[in-house]
Amino acid sequence: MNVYFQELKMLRGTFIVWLLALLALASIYLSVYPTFAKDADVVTQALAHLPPAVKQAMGTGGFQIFTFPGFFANVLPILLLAGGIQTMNMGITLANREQLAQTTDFLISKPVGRSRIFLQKLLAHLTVIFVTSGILISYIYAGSQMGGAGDFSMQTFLMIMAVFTGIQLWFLAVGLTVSALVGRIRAVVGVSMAVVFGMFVLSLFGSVIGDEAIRYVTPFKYVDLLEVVTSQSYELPHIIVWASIVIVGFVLSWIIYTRRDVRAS
Amino acid sequence: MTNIISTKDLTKFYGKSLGIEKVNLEVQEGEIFGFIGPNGAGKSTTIRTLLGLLKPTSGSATIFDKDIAKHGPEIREEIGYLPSEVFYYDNMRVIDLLRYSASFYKHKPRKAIEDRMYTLAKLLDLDLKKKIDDLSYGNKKKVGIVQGLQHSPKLIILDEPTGGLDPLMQQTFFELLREENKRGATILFSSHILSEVQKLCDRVAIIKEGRIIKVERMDDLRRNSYAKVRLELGAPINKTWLKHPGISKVEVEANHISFLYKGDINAITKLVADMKLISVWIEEPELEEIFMHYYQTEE
Repeated sequence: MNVYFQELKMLRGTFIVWLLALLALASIYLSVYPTFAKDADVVTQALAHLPPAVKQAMGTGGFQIFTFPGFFANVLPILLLAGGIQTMNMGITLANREQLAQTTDFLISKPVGRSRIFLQKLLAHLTVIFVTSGILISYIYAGSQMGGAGDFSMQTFLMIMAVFTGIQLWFLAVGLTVSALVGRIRAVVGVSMAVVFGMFVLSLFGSVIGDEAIRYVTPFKYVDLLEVVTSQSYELPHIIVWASIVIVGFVLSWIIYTRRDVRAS
Repeated sequence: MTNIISTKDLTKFYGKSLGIEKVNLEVQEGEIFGFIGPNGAGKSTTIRTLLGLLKPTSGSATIFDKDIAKHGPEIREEIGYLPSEVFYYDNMRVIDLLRYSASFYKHKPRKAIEDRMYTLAKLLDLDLKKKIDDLSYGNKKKVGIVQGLQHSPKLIILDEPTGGLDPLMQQTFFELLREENKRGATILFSSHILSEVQKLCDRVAIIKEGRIIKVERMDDLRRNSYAKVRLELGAPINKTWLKHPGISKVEVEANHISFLYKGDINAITKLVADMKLISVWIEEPELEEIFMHYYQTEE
């Protein structure tokens, strides 16, 4: 596991910077939640006075929008955008960093197979993703409790926040694939910003024209966050596309990494 | 004699352009084998293919009697490799990099590697506490030497290793290699500098345009190669003696004569002994000139 620990060391700096940025972003949203909650109370009370038949027709979901998970479903896309850029960078850099620093020779001439190198590096990246998600979700939950969000469905909250982890995995896989196919990339941030913002704009565009097909293209639209709040479920076809892209990305980049020629600099 | 490296028609194309073609090499246990050729001849391609950095297009190779395609990691356990250009993780300290390097050799006692690391660092005057980023090119090269030798490998592969080392350090490095060789290590030494190879190697393979032209004992190569002779004379030149067998490519310019000579050098010294000389130069030929020689004999 020496490559895994070495990779973690190398990722440490950017991990801390990104984590702090994400926590700062989350703090901003947590700070506006009390105002939102106050307004939501008024609406919820108004809704509570509706006749029972109307309430039944609306379903319980209607009220969920005004809970803490509902609030976070509205603001999450900005966190998704940041998280996406973070892992797209990581994905591109996984093999690219050694290529740019020309340390690939050192690593591959050691008594270790390329598969092992790749898998240990990937594992280090996945560790960063899951630790980031873990800290971010705990932080937001703690913030909600301090901000007086009261009781809400933990399941809904986690289902909303899992989208963050999913987006990170998706962009990691895409970053890996892009880097494997293109080879040496110097403008890592440029490429990842272009792809992530491209997908984000596509998702906004899709919302405007209401195109269903776009929902299979951009990961920002795989899950309709407000729908999750009301129905507490994901849409299976989108989840299948999501998982497939992540798995295909990992496998494809592994195949390329293990077979590629490492040419002299 | 056991073969440590054995290649059979090893071929590597980069797309359509040729890297190496049908390279057949046999490096025997305990020898220092030179691998010479000009830049771009295919030396690095051959070495990088042996190390698994490149996948051969066709042909095969074995190291320690194990197929390089199937047993790469196992083979590399006993190889020390020093490339011509060394690059390491800039943010690491030398000692951390060397320990990271040592951590890959799982079948060797860590303590022995660590001890060897300190010995080598002391010998090469390398500061282990410095950050890689702060090292000069020559010092980075020393890091390369230590990481290549600290696990006492059975096979040492050096790809133009002396660039960046000052003459004194080159000498220390060559002594170190001779010691490693005495210990039993086999060495494959690639270079485009003939004098380096001459100092060190027992046998040599000459590669040009991706093909091995000749594999010869160093002594024979020297004996069979041309000497470059240049004379500066203080009196008018009598050209008749230039018809002596073995003299070719005569060039006369004012009171300077230069020519190539192949044969017993005593014959030449006798010929010029009676001349009024201002200066004499007898030089070993450039590598290119040896190639010319081989091409001529091939044709």
